[in-house]
Formats: sequence, structure tokens, C-alpha cells
Amino acid sequence: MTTAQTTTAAVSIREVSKAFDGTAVLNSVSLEIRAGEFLALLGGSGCGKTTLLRIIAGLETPDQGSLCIGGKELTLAPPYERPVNMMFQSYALFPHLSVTENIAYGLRAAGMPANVRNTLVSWALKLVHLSALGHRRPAQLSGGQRQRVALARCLVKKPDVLLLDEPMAALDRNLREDMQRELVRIQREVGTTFVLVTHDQDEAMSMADRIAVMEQGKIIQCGSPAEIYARPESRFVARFLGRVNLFEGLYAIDAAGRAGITTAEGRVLHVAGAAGMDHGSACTGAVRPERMVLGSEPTGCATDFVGTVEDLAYFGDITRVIVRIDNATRIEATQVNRTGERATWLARGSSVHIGCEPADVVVLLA
Amino acid sequence: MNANRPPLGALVTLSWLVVFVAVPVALVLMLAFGETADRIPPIAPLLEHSHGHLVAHLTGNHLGEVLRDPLYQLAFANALRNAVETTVLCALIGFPIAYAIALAPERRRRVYLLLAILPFWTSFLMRTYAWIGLLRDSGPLNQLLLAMGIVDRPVHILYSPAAVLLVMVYSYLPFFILPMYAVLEKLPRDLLEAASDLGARPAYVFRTVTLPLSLPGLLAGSLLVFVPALGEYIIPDLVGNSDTIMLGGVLWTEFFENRDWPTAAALAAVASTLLIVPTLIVRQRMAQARAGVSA
Repeated sequence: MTTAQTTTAAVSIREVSKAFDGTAVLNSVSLEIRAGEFLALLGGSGCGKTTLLRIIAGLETPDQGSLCIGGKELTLAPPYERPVNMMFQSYALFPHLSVTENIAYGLRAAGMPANVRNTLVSWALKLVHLSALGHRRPAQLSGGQRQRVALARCLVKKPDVLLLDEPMAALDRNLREDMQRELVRIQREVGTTFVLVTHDQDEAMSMADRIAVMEQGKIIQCGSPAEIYARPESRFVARFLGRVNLFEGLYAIDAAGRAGITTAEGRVLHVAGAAGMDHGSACTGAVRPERMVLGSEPTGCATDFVGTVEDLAYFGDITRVIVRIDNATRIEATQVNRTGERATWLARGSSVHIGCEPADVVVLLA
Repeated sequence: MNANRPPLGALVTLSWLVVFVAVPVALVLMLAFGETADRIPPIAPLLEHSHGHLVAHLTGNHLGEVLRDPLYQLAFANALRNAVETTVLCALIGFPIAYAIALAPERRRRVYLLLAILPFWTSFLMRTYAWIGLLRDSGPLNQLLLAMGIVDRPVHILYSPAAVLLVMVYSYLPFFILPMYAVLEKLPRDLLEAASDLGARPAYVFRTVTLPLSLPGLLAGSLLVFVPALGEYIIPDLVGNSDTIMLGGVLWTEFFENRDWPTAAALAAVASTLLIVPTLIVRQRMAQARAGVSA
């Protein structure tokens, strides 16, 4: 955030490709990572996100393309010559060394004198709140503590870029949220560029300044969490981040000049004009559940359907409503429970109106 | 299972240890304190009824003789030096081989392991005899050296300490490679990657991560080589110099030629004691290494 206006790229990846045993894992990936930002590489398993991270770390060599870190071309440099450090999914702590020795490892390898080393190690221990456990072996620590040691071991090297490979995967749910906040705090405090690999969209959304969504070895969209959520560029991204209603149909402009998507059932979903979209071309309208408006009477929105409440799920703060408007179409809507009581007209089996405004619809190609 | 009843496996192990370890060790110790006699077996009964009294024929003379006599001291020193040299060379040659096998693609590892233990398909004695043929003055090795012009007359390798060391290393190498491989194969790759990522060059990674974490394999392999190497009899007898006396040879001579069972037993007892020390050290180091990993 603090350095969003600076133009220097901490890492710039240009047209990087990588294949393992003839199977393409990365397909001409280009990405600029800004100095000081918290970037998440988000995607399902096998999308190539970890391989991309390992290429930045120097643990894999790209088949094609180039990689610059801090303006220096380092495509083929070995890991120990790069100003980046990686936190492994397994944490990869040295079992035969104490917490302090683990953290000091990288400084020792660099031949740093003991007095400077000790100062830095104490600073790192304090940063991750582990000052009291320096003498322990990794096997004597809990999962969360091990993760902190792994983090401190990287940060003590003051890397230009810190790479995190699924750091929360080995933690249980409660601890995970604490550590997510903790990581964001530490990133703000040290100002290092963080690159986080994750398959968890909530994690990416809540932690990152920017998200690069990956699928099948490509970055398919890159932007702030809000941009990606509000303006997904493909059905994959729309579905991968949060819940979404998708309306497939043909783009049409009616006699009054209003744009819409006509579904196979003949319904019209009114949309704001989409640039570059021709009359009659196949497209999909995407609407988030919280943008859908529910009512016992016509909603007054440009698009208004009538349907039957098929299912209600009460979550305390919100209620998820599934409305069936025909045999093939179900729409999900999220109602915020302001009074703590559900509206009396909203019940399983009741007839309701459900609608949305053109500005709430994102038009996606096909 | 009933907590008061030991499991069958423990009983089997215990019986095995009693029959094949405790009883033989006790016999050797008893013999070592016995007295020679002109009878069959050539040993005086340890306890005897004589004129209504129970008389014990026990003496520490043989043990004292074994410890004091310079000839036996030389035999021990030669055997010890030979065993240490064999162990060190096996470690220096075996570690890179075990590491290379552990780093090979999984399918090829089995082939390499099979190759490492392939010599066991042939009898140990036959392989040792084969070395006599290989090393003799008119053998293939000397012919090769002569043909390449490296030497102008055959080198006398056979019947020398060098030949003993060569054949010992050849024979015992698989015993080092197997436990070493077992440990190196399980060495987590991400630890090596993490070390490299933290700025350590390959030599530093080896010294600070690979070596300490593979210490259990190094110690187990060294022990498997050192223990049998100390008492090795056949290899020095077949390819060694008969002037170089060694523990195995001396023991053989005392037992079969001089029929001096107490001296032979005393030699065996001292050799066993020499072996217990490194074994205890290894056990302690292994326990420490384990404590570091799982405590």
C-alpha cells in the first residue's frame, strides 16, 4: 500500500515457460511484482503457482523467458545468490539445530560476525514473539511456533522479496486466521515485498494488496481483491472468488436501445452496455448474490423475475436464499439480517420477486 | 494384550540373544580363565572334586599374557590399524556412492542398489581367491600396468598390506553403502533447498545439513564394517604378507595349532571389549541424533 505509487518492480517475470517431463506447467507467464506490495498467487492445485514461486527462488530454472529481481537479470542464478527467501510449506526447519541456530543459519552462511548476527537474531525472535523459545529444537514447538521460526529465519536475512508457499496449509482453522493477521502486521512492519502462494481465495482476499489468479499455467487476471471480485474477466475468476449467479445467453439490444442478455428460456437480464460486444453474440452475465434484490412485490429493478423460494440458510448475520425461477434456473441471493428476524414473507415455498440493476451485472465473453 | 505377558516377539528375541550371544560369551570368558590340560578338550575342568573338596582351576595368567606379550600387542595394533583404515576408506568411497544412489531417479535406484549388493551372489571365499589371480605378478593388473608403460617390471601387490586393505575395502563396502543409503534416501530434500535458499553454497550445505543429518547412517555403516574387519582372518591369510601378524591369524594359531584354548579365548575376550567401546559411542550418538529430531 505504502509503495503503490512507486514504479520500481521488485520482481519482473517475462514470458516464463516451464515443463516437467513434457507437461507444460507454466505457459508464457509475465508478471510485475511491485516493491513493498503483498501479492497473492491464487489458483487451484496444479495451476503452476508453486512452480512460479520456485522459479523466483531459483529452485527451478525456467525453460524460456527471463526473470529480474530488483532490476538485475537473475534467470539462471543459483538460489544462494538471490536477494529472496522462501518460507516452505513444510517450513523445512533444520531438526538438528535450535530455534536460534535455525534463524542464524543464513547469517552464518553469509559469514556475518557473531555480534551483528546475535543482534539480528534477537530482533527476528522478537518480531515473531518467540524470544523465550530460542533454545528449543523444532520438534519441541507447536505448528504455529514452527511457522514463526520459518518466517523469522527468512526475515532475518532482510530479503528484497519474501516468498511464502501455502504458509497456512499445516495450521488448524483458528490458528490460521490469527497467523493471517500476524503476517499482514509483519509485512507492514518490515515493508518487505511478500509473494504468497495460496489456493484459498479468502486468504488471498483478506491478506493481499493484489491477487494474480492462475489457471493452467497462465495468469488469467491480476488486480486488487476488490477489482477482481467486482470485475472478474472470466467465468473461472467469477466462480473462483466468492459466489456468483451466471446467466448464459445472447447479447441483445432492444428497440429502446437498452442492452440485455436473452437466456435460452427467453428471459432478459438487463445489463449496462458492454464495449466490443455485438448484437447476437454469446455471453454470460455474472451477478453476485449480495447484489440481488428480494421482495414480496416487484422489486423495481430493471431486471425483475418471479420465482419460488427453494431453500433458506440462516447464518446469523446473513441469510442465503435460493430462488427457483424455472426448472433450469436457480438464483442465489444474500439478505443481510438487520433486525435479527427474518421477513415473514420470506419462507420456503413462498412466491417472491428477485431482481438486479444493469450496473450490478458483469458481462463475460461466452 | 495382557500387559503382564511379554509379547511373543520379545520372547523370540530374548531366546535368540541368550542362545547365540549370552551363552557363547559366557563360554569364552570361562575358557579365558581356564587352564590348559593334556586331554580332549585341551582344558582342565573349571570345577573338580578332589579328595572330597571342590577345587576351582581358574587363572588370570592367559589374560595377563595376552595383554602384556608384545607379539599379541602387535597383532592387536595391526588388526586395529587395518580395521580403521578399512572403515575410513569404506566411508570415503561409500558415502558418495550411497549419495549418488539416493539422488538417482526412483526407478534407477533399485538397479543401483542391486548392483551394490551383487557381489554377495558369489561366495566370499571365491571372490577373495579371484583377487589373488587379479593381483599376482603375471595377473591382469600387472599386465595392464606393463602394457601402458607405467611400470617396467611387475609390481608385487599380492601378499602385501596394500592387497589386504584393497580386498577388505572391496569386501566390506556394501555393508557401509546400505545403511548410508537408507539414511540419505530419507533426508528431506526441502531442507537442502531451504539451506541453499538461505544463502548457503553447496559445500556449506553439505557440511552443516547433509553431514549432521546423515550421521546415524555414517555411524551404523562404520560399525558394520569395523566390527567384522577387526577380527578378519581369511583376507590377511590369503592375500596378505605372512610376516604381518594379525589378530585373526594369531587366534587361529593359538586355537587350532597350539591347542591353547584359554589364550585363544582371552584374545577373543579382549577383542570383544575393544569392539564394545565404539559400539557404545555409536549408540550414544544415535540416541542424541534421535533426540534432536523427535524430542
